[in-house]
Amino acid sequence: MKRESLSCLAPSATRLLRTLLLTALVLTACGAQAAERVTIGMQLEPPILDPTANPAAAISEILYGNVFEGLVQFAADGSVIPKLASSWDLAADGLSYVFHLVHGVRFHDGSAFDAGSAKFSLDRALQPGSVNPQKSRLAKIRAVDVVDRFTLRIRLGQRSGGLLQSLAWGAFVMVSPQSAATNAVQPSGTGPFRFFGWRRGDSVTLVRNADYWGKPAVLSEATFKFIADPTAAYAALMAGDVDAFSNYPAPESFPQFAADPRFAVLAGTTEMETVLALNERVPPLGNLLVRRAISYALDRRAIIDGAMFGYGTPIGSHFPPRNPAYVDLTGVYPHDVAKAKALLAAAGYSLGFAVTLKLPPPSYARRGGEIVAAELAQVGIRASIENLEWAQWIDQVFTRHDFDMSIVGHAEPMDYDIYARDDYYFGYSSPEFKALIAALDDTIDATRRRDLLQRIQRKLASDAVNGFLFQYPRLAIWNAHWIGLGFDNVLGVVDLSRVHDDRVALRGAYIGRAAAARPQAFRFAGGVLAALALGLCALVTRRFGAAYLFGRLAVLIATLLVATAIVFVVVQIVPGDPVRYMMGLQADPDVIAATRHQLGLDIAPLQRYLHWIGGLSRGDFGSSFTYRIPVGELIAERLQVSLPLAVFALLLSTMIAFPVGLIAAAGRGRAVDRVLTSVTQLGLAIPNFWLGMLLVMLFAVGFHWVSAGGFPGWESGFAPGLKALTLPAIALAMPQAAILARVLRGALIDTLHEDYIRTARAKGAGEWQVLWRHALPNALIPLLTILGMQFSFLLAGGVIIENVFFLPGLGRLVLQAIVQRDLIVVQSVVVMLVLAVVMVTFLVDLAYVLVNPRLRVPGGA
Amino acid sequence: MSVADTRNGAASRNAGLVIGAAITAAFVGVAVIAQIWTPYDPAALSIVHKLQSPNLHHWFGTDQLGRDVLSMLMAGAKNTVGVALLSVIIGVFIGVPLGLLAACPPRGAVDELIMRGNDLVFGFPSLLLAILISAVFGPGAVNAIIAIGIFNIPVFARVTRGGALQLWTRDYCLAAQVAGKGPIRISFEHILPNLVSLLAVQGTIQFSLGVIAEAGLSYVGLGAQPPTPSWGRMLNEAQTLAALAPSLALFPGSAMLLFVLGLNLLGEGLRHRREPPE
Amino acid sequence: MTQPGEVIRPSAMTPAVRAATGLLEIEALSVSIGVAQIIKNLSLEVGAGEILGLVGASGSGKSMTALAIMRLLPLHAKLSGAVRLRGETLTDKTETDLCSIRGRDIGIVFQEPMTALNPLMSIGDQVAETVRLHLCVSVAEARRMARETLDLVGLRGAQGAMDRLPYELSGGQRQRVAIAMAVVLAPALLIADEPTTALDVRTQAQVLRLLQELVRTRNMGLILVTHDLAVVAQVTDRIAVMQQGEIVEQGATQPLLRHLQHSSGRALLAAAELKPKRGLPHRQDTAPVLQVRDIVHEYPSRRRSLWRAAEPLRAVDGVSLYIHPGETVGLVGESGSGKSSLLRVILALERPQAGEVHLLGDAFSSTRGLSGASVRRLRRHIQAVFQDPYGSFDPQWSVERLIAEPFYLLEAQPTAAERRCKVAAALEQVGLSPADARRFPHEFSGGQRQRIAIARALIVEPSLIAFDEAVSALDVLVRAQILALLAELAERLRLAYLFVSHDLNVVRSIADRIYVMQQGRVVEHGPTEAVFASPRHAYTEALIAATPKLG
Repeated sequence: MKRESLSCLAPSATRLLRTLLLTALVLTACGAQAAERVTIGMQLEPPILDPTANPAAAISEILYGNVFEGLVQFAADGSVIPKLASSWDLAADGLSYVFHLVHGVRFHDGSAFDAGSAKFSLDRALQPGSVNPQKSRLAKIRAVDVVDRFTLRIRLGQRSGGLLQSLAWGAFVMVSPQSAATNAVQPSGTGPFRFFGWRRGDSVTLVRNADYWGKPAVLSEATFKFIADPTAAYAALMAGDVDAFSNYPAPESFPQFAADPRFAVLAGTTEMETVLALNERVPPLGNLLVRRAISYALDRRAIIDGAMFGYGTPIGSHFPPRNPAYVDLTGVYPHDVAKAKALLAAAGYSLGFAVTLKLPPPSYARRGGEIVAAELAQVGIRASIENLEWAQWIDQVFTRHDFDMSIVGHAEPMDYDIYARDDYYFGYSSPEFKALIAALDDTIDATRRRDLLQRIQRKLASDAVNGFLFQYPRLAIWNAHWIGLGFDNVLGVVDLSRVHDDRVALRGAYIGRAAAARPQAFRFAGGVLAALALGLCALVTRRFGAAYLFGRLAVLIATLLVATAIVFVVVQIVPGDPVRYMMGLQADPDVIAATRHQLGLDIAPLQRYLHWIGGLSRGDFGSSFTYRIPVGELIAERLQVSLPLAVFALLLSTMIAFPVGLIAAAGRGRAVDRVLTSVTQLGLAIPNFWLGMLLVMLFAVGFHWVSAGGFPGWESGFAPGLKALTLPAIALAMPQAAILARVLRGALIDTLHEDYIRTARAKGAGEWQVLWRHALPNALIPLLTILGMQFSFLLAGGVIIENVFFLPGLGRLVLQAIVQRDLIVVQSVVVMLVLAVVMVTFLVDLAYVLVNPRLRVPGGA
Repeated sequence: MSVADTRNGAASRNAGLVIGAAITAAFVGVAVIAQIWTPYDPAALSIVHKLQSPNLHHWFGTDQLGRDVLSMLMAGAKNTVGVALLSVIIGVFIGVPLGLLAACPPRGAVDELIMRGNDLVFGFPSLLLAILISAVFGPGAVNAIIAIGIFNIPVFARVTRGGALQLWTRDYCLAAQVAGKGPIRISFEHILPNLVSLLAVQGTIQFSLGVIAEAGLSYVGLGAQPPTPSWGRMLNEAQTLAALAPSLALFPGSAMLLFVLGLNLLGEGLRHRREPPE
Repeated sequence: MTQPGEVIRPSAMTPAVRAATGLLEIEALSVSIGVAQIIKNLSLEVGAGEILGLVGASGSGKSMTALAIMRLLPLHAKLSGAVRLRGETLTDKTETDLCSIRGRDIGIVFQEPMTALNPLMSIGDQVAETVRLHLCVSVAEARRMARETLDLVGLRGAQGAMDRLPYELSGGQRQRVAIAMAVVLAPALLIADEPTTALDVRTQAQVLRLLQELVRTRNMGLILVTHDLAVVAQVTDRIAVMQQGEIVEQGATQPLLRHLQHSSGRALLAAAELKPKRGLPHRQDTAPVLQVRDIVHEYPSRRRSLWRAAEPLRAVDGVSLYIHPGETVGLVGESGSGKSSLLRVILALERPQAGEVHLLGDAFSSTRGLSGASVRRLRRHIQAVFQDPYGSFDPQWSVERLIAEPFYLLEAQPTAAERRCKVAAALEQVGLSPADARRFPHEFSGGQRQRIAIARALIVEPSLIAFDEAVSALDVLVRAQILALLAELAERLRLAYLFVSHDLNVVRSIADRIYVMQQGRVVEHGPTEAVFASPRHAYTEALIAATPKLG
């Protein structure tokens, strides 16, 4: 382009042109280097990324074997095979193990892996203040010694047959002394992938570790995307937003994927036994006859068909069928209503009895619960269903044992020992069973162990401790082009080490993604807003005096203070202990106490409130319980989605509403008005989340025009970000546009009845001139209030829409935080939204006062 | 041009009122009928009959657990109507007296206090607080009623106050004062009866908003709990089955659309009857 | 470039046509909305430089005639007949053509100055808009013309007057702006639809003078639509009297006024010519029924500074007055003079900041809160009738219930039968039938409603009734009837009246004594005829001078 031709454009136009060119270039470049990246969908997001500090299965699912590695690992059949320890020797008395470590291994932080770091890892897990969730499994270790640089010895106080298995767990991976403290947010291990980034509420990204000690991975990058909602999971797979789903949460649509040549599926099993947990402390359920009657009443096939759409293996005891030691005990209690009734009668409950059935959120429990309740009703047991959030479940069922029945999956491998624990939540207590477990732990001989395991299974079945329902299936779905995705293993982790895409010639070089600069747009927008606010304040001060402004500000601050108090109080009475929730089912009490202290939850509420308020006034929102990062950062991250979404939706709704309102008002009483009014009537009646669902079904699943949801992040470019927000913005904007258009039409018609409109006509102004020059400016005044309210509503009101489109926005952050009992996040976000609403209302009021001359006279109406 | 639209407009609005009233009556009627009768037990599972498309036995088909969709819709209407109605009643019974009180002359601290309280509740993102309330007290229909009802209070308070302030400028309030009546007595004798139609209009609007809010809460699992059927939860459950049985998502959504449409038409019609065109 | 003041003529019109006819000819004009015939077969002519008064009671169709000339009728109105301006038939024009005629060839000024201006547009822009709609001139040129016209209508004012917004102007000033908008392009015809009805008498006189001047200097035709014969008598050349959509009388002003034949015209004339009251002077030696002493009433105003309390607005500033039994006292003043605030204090609806009101010798309204019981006991002795006959009644209450409402003040509540009986008696006293008790207020006309309001005031047999502009909203004919009723009642029941009004003619016709209020103070008081005959205060003098008189 010639210099002259550019110079005649206004400077801003030149800039715009340059930006457009650059954007186009970047977009082309992005398109060229697709593939070799895999995106894997997961149902649950890990709270932190350190498997040694938190029991959440999602942590291991992403990181175990990929980022972190242990001394040993499980083979597919549950046996233990070498990993960082290439071999090991067991002393004859069974009280000492010697591990020979692999040479030349380096942690991602650069430090070398040797016996010293191995000892550090184990000691860290065992030390008194440790928060390791599986700490008790290594209780028999007396000492860990460094023999030489690559030899490690573990000495035991007693023999422990399960030690090797325990060491294969995710909680005992090897960590570097240098970086262990920051693993929660910046995990650093020895695996084939390095941690790259974590977009909270959305995804974790790993990149290939080029210096891996073993065979390096083919894949250059892997993103784990968190999609909790079964529907969203379905849509994401169909729309190609994710390449794979490791644990697909919607079995009803699984056959559809199985039949689709674009996808490969795997219906395997997991280590999770799904049981109808019975509280033996409750009188009828303490009775063995009653428990057996319940077992007879259960029709496992119907439950599996109904709740899992046929996926899942019936079980008769607490043991995975794929284990070599498994015995099929499903025949012990066949579905037999008559026998169940007879047993109940024999136990003295011929008229049945009433129980509560408390269900955690997953669909297997909720759906299974409805079926179980119906089946129990057939034998006279009246179960009333109560649905709980996980935190409530842990609080009521697991901790306080305040339940009769529950349905829950026990995901940990080889977890039959829970039946030997004292005061475990289902309250089973059997000396014989405890003796069996003790004997097992004291046994190393494989045949004898197998025999003991089978006796354990039989004992549990004969005592009908719980209603054993089914082994949870592993339903994995992935794009058929991806070869080598490993899903079927004991710990349920996603093994990426051999994954590649058959469409792309293998490229060795890792194409790094430049860490994107944090978008400046938000700071800019914030600046503009602040300038606007200050300008308004200055204008108002000039016109009404400082007293008026200060008065308004005082009211604003008082409102906020009251709001913080209300939110704090409400949040305090939310049932459920955040620490319990964070630390999981098997956490030790001293670990929980330590965590409570660490989070500052052990101080008095009033003090905590003052502390929080003090922080707020300094702009410090505190630190998230679950994510362990400043809440302010979390909110800022989510605002990058929620704010543009709100603005986008507001713009859309305004752009639709203005022409519609104007045309309807101009043609008032005529056909065009009636048609438009009817359309807005329809727009008012559509619930936005249903509209969202319909839009996804049509444009993402049907036409593949846009992705079904999710958010790529602004660093991947403005256009993709905007594209991802389009459908949600439309869904949000439509009902708002309908409201706006109706209000505008009404305000315009009201204005058209005013005398000055007649005056304008008398001057000779035509219909449109009157509408445009006289009616519209006056009609805008009432509209201003509506617009302000809509913005506030859109900022906070997208909760459900954010769920439909799985956008990592503020609403979802709050919903998640409520579920996870991340109190500080909840209270901070709600207060921040209140602040936003109050501020917007305040500014709109000021603008209103300024624009409306009738309000300008002091004391005027 | 002061008379905008008279004959044609009035006729179509009247039609709107009739249609709206008919739809509303139909849904309320279904809700009442569902109290005593539905074609099938809406909670009865029949796994063998799951995911049937609409047929002679099951007019709207069956869901993933073999329940009759029509029966669930009817029972869901009962739930929706109940929640929305009771939340409106909460708003009316608390909000209207507050609004009347705020408008009573001489307006001062009481008015300021009530209106600031109003602003405070308005300031809370309604859906979030509803979610929070449901999280605190546990999900369920009663808590959904409370959560939605709380937000109806300031709406009715504001509308009542606005209407009352206008009526207080009428000379008949002055005449009643000259007749020795106090502000509270005047509020109930003169103001409230003249606000009834205004409140009826606002009531239908809040009712329709309540229907959508209840569906939203149930959709995220915080409304009525199973086995009580609710439209929002039906929609949620239907989402994953969109490809297998799209009708499962279409029926509850359309029911909601139709009901809200009917309520809006009714409200609109009532409003126009209240303020006939000049 | 067209100069302001130069007459801009439509190009299509030839001088020959103009010379042959008057400026405006209306021939057999009829307007109907639905089945209602608003204007019937109306014919009228206006010449250049002529002022035609179009007079009639409200509802006689005079405003609709004005709108019909401009074709600014309601959407569903049907029009027949012909309107010709300088020979050009307006009734054949399309809407687009009419747009170019309105504002350029015909200007119009409406009644309500408070609402006739766009509140968001500066007055300069609003006047300039007329120019810009019709002439292709620059913004600066249009504003220059606007400024000149604003100067012409007497809004010279300070620098920046062009940029003022309507809310900053008084009613009279706004009406001047409206006139400026109508005449900026020097139209051949100006229509003024009740241009002074909403204004104070003094402002009314000024605006009328302005209109007269404009007509004389520009040789414009002016149609002055009004219900007030006195206004018409002062300024018009010719009068057309309308009744029920028809012109019943037409002719040159003075002769017509002298020879009004038709009943409607006669009634209009009679009503406009309210006779000053000629009664016996009241004995002043009895104890006054109402004694008002040094009342000060203030309204708080908005604080402008954080540290200084705002100066309150002082609406009533040390007013004293008294009323003897059976006496009618008038309280006159322009709007904003504090009459209504004073009345609210007298009725004990608001508490004064200083001073006391004694009713029948007992304290009734004072700075201290008086005990509710004693105020209530006294209340039955003072009742009130308010201005708006439509807003005075709860639309949902029956007439019986409405009239019986003050019974609430009695210690012994009457039985239902007594109540019915008393309501019937009260209705008969005000000239209504006892059967009306079962009807609802919307079934009555404005005048009848004011009678119901009087019945309500009478029901507890008070000593004093306060009237707050009680006849201002009524048609002149009805007004005369109500005033006659009041005079009769006062005589018969020996009632004392406090009659508050801005209309000097009305007060003169009923009051024995008057008080004149200006800016919260009583500036003059005395026997009515004495004050009218020789006002002592300049303000009173100005008020009386500005009040239009017939003949």
